[in-house]
Amino acid sequence: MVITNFPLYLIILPLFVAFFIFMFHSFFKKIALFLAFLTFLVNGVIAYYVYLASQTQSILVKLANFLPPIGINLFVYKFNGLLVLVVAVVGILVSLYSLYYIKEGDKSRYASLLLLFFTGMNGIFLTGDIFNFFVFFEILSISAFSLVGYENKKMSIEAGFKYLVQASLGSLFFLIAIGLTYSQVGTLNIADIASKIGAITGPMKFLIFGSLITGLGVETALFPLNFWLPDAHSMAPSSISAILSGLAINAGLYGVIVVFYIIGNGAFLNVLIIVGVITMLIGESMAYRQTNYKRMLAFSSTGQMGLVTMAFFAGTPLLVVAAIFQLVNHIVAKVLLFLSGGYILKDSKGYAISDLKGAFYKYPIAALGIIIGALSLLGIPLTLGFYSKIKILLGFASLNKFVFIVLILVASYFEGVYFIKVIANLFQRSDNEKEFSIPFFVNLIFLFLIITIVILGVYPKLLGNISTMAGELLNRSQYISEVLNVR
Amino acid sequence: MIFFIGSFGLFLIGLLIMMTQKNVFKILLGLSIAETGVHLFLITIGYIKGGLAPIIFDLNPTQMLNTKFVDPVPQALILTSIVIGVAVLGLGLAFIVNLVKHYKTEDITKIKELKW
Repeated sequence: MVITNFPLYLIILPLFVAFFIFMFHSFFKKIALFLAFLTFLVNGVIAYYVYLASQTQSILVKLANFLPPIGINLFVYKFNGLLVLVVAVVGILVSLYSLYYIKEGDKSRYASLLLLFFTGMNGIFLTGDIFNFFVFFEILSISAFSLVGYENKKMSIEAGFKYLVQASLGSLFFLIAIGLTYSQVGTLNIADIASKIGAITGPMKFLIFGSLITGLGVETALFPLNFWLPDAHSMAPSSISAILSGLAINAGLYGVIVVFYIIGNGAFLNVLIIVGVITMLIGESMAYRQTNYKRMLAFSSTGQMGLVTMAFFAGTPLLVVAAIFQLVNHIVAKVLLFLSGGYILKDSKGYAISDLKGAFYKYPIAALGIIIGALSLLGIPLTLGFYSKIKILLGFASLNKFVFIVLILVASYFEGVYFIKVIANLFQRSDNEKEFSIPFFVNLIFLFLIITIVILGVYPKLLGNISTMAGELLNRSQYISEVLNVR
Repeated sequence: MIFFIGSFGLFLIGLLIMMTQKNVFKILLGLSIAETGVHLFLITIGYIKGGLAPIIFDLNPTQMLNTKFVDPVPQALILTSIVIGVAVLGLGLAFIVNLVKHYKTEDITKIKELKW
């Protein structure tokens, strides 16, 4: 347990640069995206040190020198230390990709919204105060709405508006839940709420957790609340689709994890498992029907989120470990799929899967990216996805819940069919002779992600000590005592 | 109690507007009304009948103990939440301007390029 202000720079730095670029945007028209890339590099270095420090000891940041539970504190333990590192790496890759991908529009606005998005991400993962969590959640959502509509095309504006209305309604429910919790326990600090949650019983408990899951479920894309997702993810620029699909829904999931494991002490987990199963089946079966590449990936994200949710909230250490692996696998693979496919299809109308024909011969590295990403989501050996999916299946087998194993395999069957359709398209000859060259650095991004998936697939231990992370999430008394007993 | 019922009623009115109206502008107004309901609800949590504003007055300690103060935390929360609400409302209006430019209609049932 160390007290330091170091992790705070993960929030301050992108926030400051975002507004700096925005204020002087007429000066920075040309170099705004490069400035954002440099910021993400620095952010990555900070995140790496925070990750290293958090793996030995948890870090507490007390703001304005108030001791918790008074004031706002940030708390980094092993799990969110890992998440912050993953977010920072994705930030570097996506900002480098945007340098080559974003050609139209006001680039300085794009850069500052991208930085605000990552401010929200880091804030959500680090904060130890539930209202602060809400504020960062809104920073994330508002920049995400604007980025979805960035291209100002007919359909992207429609998708952005739908996303705005549904996500704002969801956050109202989250605000109601915060109010109800405050009226019952009189505190907003997550650790303090967790230590006093026993006082809330009966219908009030049901009301609070119902509002929380409604509020967070919109961003997490749980089943009845995810109608906005395929539109927003498929209509945004590809770099934004990647971070929406890879990161934004995980921010919602992290909220659900904190609420139900740390605050809720394992209440209502069965509901979440069932919601996860339904989300998985509907997502994968809808993805199977799509002809639009990005829309298919968006539905596949829903399906993957359902899988992660059901594994996470089954509640045994084995399954939580597997779910953390699957979470990281989904981030890396989905970012790779969106970035590589998005670059190949950047000139095509409507991102049809059939437009990928012949891509393997023209753009071998990008096509390899699509193949490895798809195989990793499917769970083929030598990829990270194999390791995590086998662990999830073994975890459910040890619980004797064979129904879930059958359902996961059914979902995997759908997944297999549509991903093999995509891969088969890559190898077909096409009569389309048009060809452009992919810049060296963009290929480097794809190679980096491909190598990451393969290396983590062979040595999953490189991700760090996942089983202690799972133990930490399941042992909430440690979290509570570490935050509240600071001297 | 009347305040709780009132704020909840306002929230429900907002929800009802969002679900029944077809005009995109009215949907956004419904969102704004529902948000006001939530804000009133948060205010009500911190409200004490006859309470004073939570500022240190020129009173001696015994008088301080006998004076009731309202809870300042929900008020601070609402100030933040109002600012967020304004940002969402502004962005939503910007979206509506562009929607009408592209689709030449304000009817949400006719804005249907995207489907499941």
